[in-house]
Amino acid sequence: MAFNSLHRQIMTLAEEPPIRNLQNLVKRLEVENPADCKGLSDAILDRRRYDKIILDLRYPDPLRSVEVHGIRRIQASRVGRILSVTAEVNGPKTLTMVERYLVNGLPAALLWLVSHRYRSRQ
Amino acid sequence: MDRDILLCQWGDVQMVLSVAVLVVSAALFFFYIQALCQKILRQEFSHPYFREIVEAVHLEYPHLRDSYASNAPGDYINARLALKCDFFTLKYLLKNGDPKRRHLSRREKILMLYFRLIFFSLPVRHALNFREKEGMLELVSTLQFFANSVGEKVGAYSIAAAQSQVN
Repeated sequence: MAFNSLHRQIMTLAEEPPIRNLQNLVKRLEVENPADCKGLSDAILDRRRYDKIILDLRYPDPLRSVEVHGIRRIQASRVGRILSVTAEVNGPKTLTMVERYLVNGLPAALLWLVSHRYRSRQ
Repeated sequence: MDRDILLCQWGDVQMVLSVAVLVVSAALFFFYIQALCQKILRQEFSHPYFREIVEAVHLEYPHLRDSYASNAPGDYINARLALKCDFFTLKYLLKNGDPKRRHLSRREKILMLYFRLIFFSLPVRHALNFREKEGMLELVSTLQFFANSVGEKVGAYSIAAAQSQVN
């Protein structure tokens, strides 16, 4: 299930493949830039602690920092048996890219999301 | 001929009366719904649970409340979007946060209906510039009730905060 607009997208992940894709994305981002993830991959990898994920992606306008990766400032909290993950993206196209990667598992989308050179607004 | 005219006029009167009864009934229905919802919204929680939920899920409604309360409303479209997203998130957390209690209570169901009614009336209020601020604040207080309910049911645990405490 997803609810989106130009500046914000909320996705709910309840099945294993998209949750695994998110785990993979966070692990890759943690390797590229640990400051953006703050040890989050342990929380996301510990599958026993939550049933579903609600992913809230925002595209703040104007951006508060220099664009580096497609996704940054990832934060997570557990609300009951739900893992709530919020993150900022660097442009409206990234919102679609994240959905493509999580739902369809397109590897090319993952490469773009963790790339230093990716500019979503262009 | 005169009898036909009289019957026709009586039919018109009956139709006008029916419409009037329908309008009054609908107005009374909405009045009772509003009174009931405001009574529910006045309920106090033993602890301000909403704070930890707002912090954990990064909800945007407190910023909206502050901007509308200080008479400095921001962009209407963004405000509407923020309310819609917060509603979606809180509804999901209410339904799925506690696997043992997946159903919504009767109060929550009524408030969700109330939220939708006000939310769909927002474009009209905005276009006519009629009680838009009151509508927004009503939506915000409904969201706060949902956040309190989620907090009361399940609580929240911020992983980033826990990490920073460990470090």
